[in-house]
Formats: sequence, C-alpha cells, structure tokens
Amino acid sequence: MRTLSALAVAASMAVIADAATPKFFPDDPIAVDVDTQDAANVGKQDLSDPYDFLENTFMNPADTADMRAMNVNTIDEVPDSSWWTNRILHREMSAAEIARGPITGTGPKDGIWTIVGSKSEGITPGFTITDETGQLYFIKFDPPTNPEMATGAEAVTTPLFHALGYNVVENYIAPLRRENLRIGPRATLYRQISRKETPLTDKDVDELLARAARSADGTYRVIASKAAQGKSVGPFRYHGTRPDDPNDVFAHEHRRELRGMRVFAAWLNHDDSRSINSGDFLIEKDGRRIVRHHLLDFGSTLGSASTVAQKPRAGNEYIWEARPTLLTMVTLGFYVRPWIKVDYPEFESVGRFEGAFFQPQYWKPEYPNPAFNNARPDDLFWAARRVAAFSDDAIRETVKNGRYSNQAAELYLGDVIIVRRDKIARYYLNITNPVVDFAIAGGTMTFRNASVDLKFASPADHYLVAWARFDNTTGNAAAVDAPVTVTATRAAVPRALLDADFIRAIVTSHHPEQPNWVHPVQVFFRKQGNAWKTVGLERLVPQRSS
Amino acid sequence: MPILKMTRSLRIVGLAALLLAVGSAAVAQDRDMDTRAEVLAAMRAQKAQAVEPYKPKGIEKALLYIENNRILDRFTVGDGWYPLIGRLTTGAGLAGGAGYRKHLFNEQLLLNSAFVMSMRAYKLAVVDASYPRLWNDRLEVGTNFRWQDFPQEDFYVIGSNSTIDTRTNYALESTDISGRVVFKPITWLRIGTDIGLFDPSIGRGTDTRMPSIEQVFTDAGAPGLDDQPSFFYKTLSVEFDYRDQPGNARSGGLWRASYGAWDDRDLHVFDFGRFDAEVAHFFPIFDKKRVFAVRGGVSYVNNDPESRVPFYVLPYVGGANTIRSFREFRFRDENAVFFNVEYRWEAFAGLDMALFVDAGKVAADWEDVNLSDLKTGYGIGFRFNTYKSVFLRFDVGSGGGEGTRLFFKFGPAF
Repeated sequence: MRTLSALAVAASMAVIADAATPKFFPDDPIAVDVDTQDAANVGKQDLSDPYDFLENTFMNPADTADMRAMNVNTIDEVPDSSWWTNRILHREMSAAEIARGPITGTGPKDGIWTIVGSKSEGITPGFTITDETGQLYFIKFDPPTNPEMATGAEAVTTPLFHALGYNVVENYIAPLRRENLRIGPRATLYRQISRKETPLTDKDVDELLARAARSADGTYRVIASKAAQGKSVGPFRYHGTRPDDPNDVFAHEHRRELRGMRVFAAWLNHDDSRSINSGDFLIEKDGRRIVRHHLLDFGSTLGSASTVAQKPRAGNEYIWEARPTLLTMVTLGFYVRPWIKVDYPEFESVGRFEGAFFQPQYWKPEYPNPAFNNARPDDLFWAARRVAAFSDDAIRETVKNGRYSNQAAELYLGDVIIVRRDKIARYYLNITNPVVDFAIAGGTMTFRNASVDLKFASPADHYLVAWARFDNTTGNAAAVDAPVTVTATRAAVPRALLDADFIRAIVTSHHPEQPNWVHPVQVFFRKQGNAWKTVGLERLVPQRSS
Repeated sequence: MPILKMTRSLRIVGLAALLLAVGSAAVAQDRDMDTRAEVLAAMRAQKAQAVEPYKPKGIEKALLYIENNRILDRFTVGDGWYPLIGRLTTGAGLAGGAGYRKHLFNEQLLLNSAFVMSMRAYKLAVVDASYPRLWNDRLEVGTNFRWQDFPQEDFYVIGSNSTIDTRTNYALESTDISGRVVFKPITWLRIGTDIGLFDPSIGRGTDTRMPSIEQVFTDAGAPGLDDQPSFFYKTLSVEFDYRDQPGNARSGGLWRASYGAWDDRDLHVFDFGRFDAEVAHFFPIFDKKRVFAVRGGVSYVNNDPESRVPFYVLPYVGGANTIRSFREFRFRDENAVFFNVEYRWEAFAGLDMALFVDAGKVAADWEDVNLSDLKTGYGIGFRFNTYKSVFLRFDVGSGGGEGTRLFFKFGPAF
C-alpha cells in the first residue's frame, strides 16, 4: 500500500510541468552555473551578529516552504558556481590531495612578520601581518588552557570543507617568535577606554601575546590564514539573497549546498556555522567582477570553541531552546539534559569532541540556521554521500595537519571523525531511497544502491520499476506496462520504449528494515544517437509535515 | 507548489526560480530561450535591473549603530559620559542617572563621577579617583567622595523580637570622604585599608505610609537619633577570592573579613569598632550547570561601656542580601549572623534559577549569636546572566511570617 501511494505521488509530481516548454533543455544537466553577471556595484554588507542570533532564534526570517532545493540541476546535483566546486565524490581524490586542501604554498615565510593590524576585542588575540614577501595573513593563537586546540581544529577542518566543495582560505600552522614580530607604521589597536584606534605599541603586542598559549621553546603556535582573493564585501546570510548581487538569485535557505551543510557541520561539530563565519569577496573573473562566497574561521569546530574547549551544549542544543529550558525550569533543575552527562577524554589539544553520544539527526548549531532547517531528505542524502566518500586514510592524513604533539590525541581525533562519518552515513544514506548512478546501456538500466555499496545497509529485498514514455515538451508521461520487480540493481528497458526520445523510470526500493527506501526516485533518460543519457533525477520525498 | 514568503527584492527572483523548478516555462518561452544556461542568465539579467544595496532596518539598524559606535564600551569602560541604571540601595525604587569617566596619565589614573536618583527621591553622588593598576596590577590607591540622601530608610525596634508594626522610616543624608590602599600580591588575595570621614545627618522620613522615626522612637530606642556626630574611621580588610567568575561564580570560594574603628569626632559618645566576616563557597555538579552555593556572614560592633553605637550603622539582617523573607533592615542589633544556601541550576545559557533558604538573627550580646531562634526564609530566584556575570536578578522570598518579598537587583546574590 505504501508503495502504491508513493508511486501515485511520483506520478502526480511527474505531470506538474504541463506547460508547453521542455522539461529538459539540450544542455541539461548543467555542470556549471555560470553566475558571472557583472557585480561591480556590490558594496560592503554590514551584518549585525547579535541581530543574526535574534533574527534566527526568534523571528524565523527565512522562507520555510517545503520545496526542493532551487539550485540543483536536473540530475539533483549542485553545479559548480561561485559558491561551490564539486570535488569529493565527483572525482577521485587521494588522501594527500584531501589533506592538502586549498593550500597552494608554504604559508608565511620565516623571518620578520610585520603587524599591519590587530584585534584586541574578545579574549582571542589576533594580528594581521605581512611576511617578507608582502603576503597578507591573519594570525590567531591557541588559548593558554588548550595549546594546539584552536589551531589544530582549523588546520584539520579547513581541508575537509574544501574537499566537500566550499570556498575556503588557505590556513597554515606556523611558529612565531616574539622577536620576529615588527609593528608596521600603520598598525593600530582599538582602545576600549578611549574608544579610538591608536598606534600599536610593543607593550600592546606583549599584552596580547600573554593571552596566547606559548610553547616550551618560547614560540607561539599560530594559524595563519592567507587573505582571500578579492575585496571583502561582508558575510552572507543563510537566508534570502544579497539584493546588490545580480548573480545571487536563489534564496540561500533553498540552496542545496547550504542546506546540506547541516550534515557537514554536524560531522565536524561546526556549531559556529553562522553568518559571521562566512565571507563574500568581490573577485575578477573573465573580465567581470563577481562575488565569491566563502566559509571562514573554523576555530570553533571539532572540540574547540576557539578560546576554550567546546561547551558540552555545543552541537546538542541551541543557545535558546524553549522545551529543555521550560523542562529544566519546572522540574527545578532535576531534569538533566542528557548531553550534560557525556564524558570526554582529557585531551587539551582536542577539547570536547566525541562520537559515542553523537546522533547526527539531533545535532544543532549555536542557534537555528534557516538553510539547515530547510534541509529535506534529498539534501541530507546528497550531503551524506560526500561525507561517506572520505576514506579512513584521508581522514587520518588530514588529522595530521593538526600537528598534535600528543599522538594519542591525534589518534583519538581521527577515530571520532571516522565514527561520526559512519553514523552520518548510516542514518542519512537511508533517510530516503539511496539509488544512484543510473545509466542505460544495451537495453538495460543499471543503477547502484549507495547505502548497500558502502555497507551501511544490507541489499534490498527488491526494487520496483515503473516505466513511462516521457514527452519533454508537454511534460506528460505515458506508462508502459505494469511496474516490474527486480532483485538486482538492473532492469531491462521495455522494448516499447526503445524508440522513445525520453524515458522516465520511477524506482522504489524495498527492504524490511529501511522504510524510507520506498521514496520514489524518478529518472529521465534522453536518447542521444544510439545511446541514452541520464538527464533527470529527482528524489520524491514526503512533505515535511507527513 | 507552495507559495513563497519573500521580500520584495526576492520576489522577482523567487518567481523565476519557481518557474525554473517546474520547467523554466515562462522565462524560456517569453524570450525564446533554448538552453538552461540562457534561462539562468536571463534570471540574473533580470535581477541586475533591480539591484540595490542592503539597508538594515529596525532592530538590526539599532544594533549595528551600537556595535559600530562602540556604545557598550562607553557604558562599561570607555571614557566619557555613560548612563547608569540601579546602583542604589534596596527599597530606593527604580534608579537612573549618569556618570562621567576619564582616564589620564597613560590610562593609569581613573577619574569617575556619577549621579543617580530614584523614583523615591533617593540620591547618590560619587566622585572617585584611583590608580587601580599600579605595580603591575598589584597595588591600587584611590580616594572617594560620596554624598547620599536616602529619605525613606526603614527602622524597627532594635533586637530580634521587634514586630512589623514598629516599622518607621527616616532620612539619612551623609557625606563620606575616604582614601584606600589595596595590595594584591597574588590574584586571589587582597589586603586593603581605608581611612575616611563619615558625616551623617538623620531627618524625618518621607514615606507617608508609616510614621517617621521621631514620631515613635526617642534617642534611647534609636541611639544617635538626636545628634549625629562625624566619624573618623580606619578599616583593615583581607579577602581570599578563588571563585571561577566573581560576577557569576560556579566554583571556588570567597573569604573576607574586615575590621573598622570608628571614632566620634564631635560628641565622643559613639566610638565603636565593627567587624564583618563572610565565607562563601560554590560546589558545582554536572559541568557547573548545577551549583550548590553556601554563604555565611557575621557582624558585630563593640563599644566602650560609656559609648553607644548609632542605630544607622548597626549590623542587620533582612533584605536582598541576608534573609529574603523580610524587608531590608528588618532586624538590627549589635551582632548579626546569617546563612544562605542556594541550589542553582541553569535553565538556559542566559538564565539561572535558584531555590534558596536563608536564616539569621541579630542579638544584643555576642554570646547569643548561635543557631537558636533563627529567622528564616525560603524562595526562588531568577538570575539573568552571561557566563561571567549576573546582570539582573529577581528573588522572591517568603516563609518569614511577614508575607512575600520581591527583590529586583542588578547583580548576583553572592
């Protein structure tokens, strides 16, 4: 019965596009979204971080329509764009390539570093420096209580987000000697007392460094972030679009790569995944100026909260959440949130990060992220495939980037990332029908089951395939024969369809332990000469409320 | 398809995207486009016609103004004028005022002045000059001038047996000029001394809901009611503070004691000494999400047989900082002891709640300072906080037999 109703949903979805225009254009599926409309007039966008918290916590600013991600192509993938570049899963990536991440050089050159700016606010000191080659870097330190923690987290997480497909900056761990720091003539420091920027002094530098972890050899371990290419025009929001950017046409809460980031953020405990840690940069491309969108600052990932170890709440509960708050209030505190009781190993360089209690579906950032909240099973499945594509070797190789002096800490961190990867894959690869990689050759349609292939589920009991001749102009589909049952991941194309221009197949998977596998996947093929090209794929997932 | 809720700037783009999702029909058809790339390009060209800079509005605009103009720094540490809320004694009513702060000599010398006035016409003026960070933060030297006019302070019969119907009020106007030296050899130890001149004046209370003090009491029942001399005082204090966050402690403790000698410069009948001690400790459980906080305090004054202690400087219990089931200054005498036990729990990151039990008493003789016949109270508290400090608390106390008391304070209980 469930299957029949699911097929009915699929059939009704299939006839939505009844306009007299093609469902598929000749260039579908597009691999690249050419978002290069000239954006020279984009200006600096000033966003308030406290407002971001208030807005997303109490005002629900985004469009919450339960709809498919807007920026996917016709085969349900995210084309390359100013937001995203397909890397892992899209192509082979060696462990070394993943671990290298966005790195193109060797980091700040040894020698004199000239401070050109500084940051005294908050409790994390930081400087903007130029090395002897004139390259600009932002450098940050570890807190004295947790040497190697924040810098290690940044060095490990950055290449993983890069491999996933995001634009990130190059982050290097480097040693700093106090005597190698020089104050540039224009370096200033904001003074809270006078509320003015005044020239930076050696005393200021010493005071800022006193708040940083110092190694036994007298050096300071820093994370040096190479300045992103282009001119900073402020952060992006996780909802709406930039009104000044002509290329920004898809509401961010409906962008697949921002919705799916919920899975990536859960994996790496990026609880600070909010506007303030993003950056838009105006760059020149093909003679035009366009905005490129970056994720910035991974200091609050894994077990690090930059200046202290992650709080136990991190990843488990929003800063403000009504239900546990009220429960705690009315029970006079006798309701104990379960995450409070989680034990963490004592690795100062790792902070609080674990995999045993972690449940990806319940993971939360610091406050609601509208794109994360809009994520549907198809978005989450898309993301989970990418997480699952990281091999153990790639993860361990990447963890080495953290240069942890304690080998046990490095081993533990790698173990936890692997455990969390597996939990994500086991849950999200089975959150919908995990059939992928459809092709027709020799009169047979083949596909794969992503969850079975990675051993996160046993093989399906059977698959049900409903065939139809598809009219690309009208969007109408005419069923051919009754649905057929197959037990392998292949099905013969009905002879009656071999002369069609377009074929549609609706596939459901059936497994006694995987109820979500019955979600239909509809796939479209276009005849190209004597071959068939997969031009469409859509995972028909239940509406959010059902 | 669901109807989108979109801002005006998004509407055109949203519509286009919607069309794209169902087949890119209209855009493609209207402009005779043959490829997906053309459709997407058309959407962007369409938006290019209507781009506009982002303009924050309402709350966001206000918050950006506060951030960009460093308004919070002005309120907390920055030089210049700053507003004040609260800062007056319990019972003063809602108070507000302004201060002016200025750092001089390479930020070593801090000059601070403030004036606060409440709804009940309580007034306070303070001028303070200090070098708070001498000798690498180990030494503080300062001087302070304080004028206050508190026109509705409560007074009851002295002693632990006073009844609520003896409630009167009086006006206390005073000036206090002092100098201080505080030595901080290590971060958790402070040793300080104050010397000063305190000049009080007692007058008719302005709260018409009850009699003024002179209508009920004489100088015999309220020592110092008739004449108020000026006092020269010298105080020595020591403090061990190993709390994790002094403004919102969840672990550690605080021990402090002080002794002051007060000399009546005019009448020579009110010479006395006063000793105050307090111990607090904080026991965290569940990563400091639950805390048992305990505190005990004791005060006594001693005077020569031929001297008396003015009623307005007598130790007391009752009120926001001692026993919260009673009004402020409810019981006064020459000796006082109090205890507070709080079970605190975090409701969420910005709010802690507390169940508390308070107890204490006053006594004429030190020998009577014991655990018998304690005045008690219990209640619940709501503490709005950051990780480092409690900035607002509501405590509701009861159980003392005198009704329910609500205390609204800017700062932690202890």
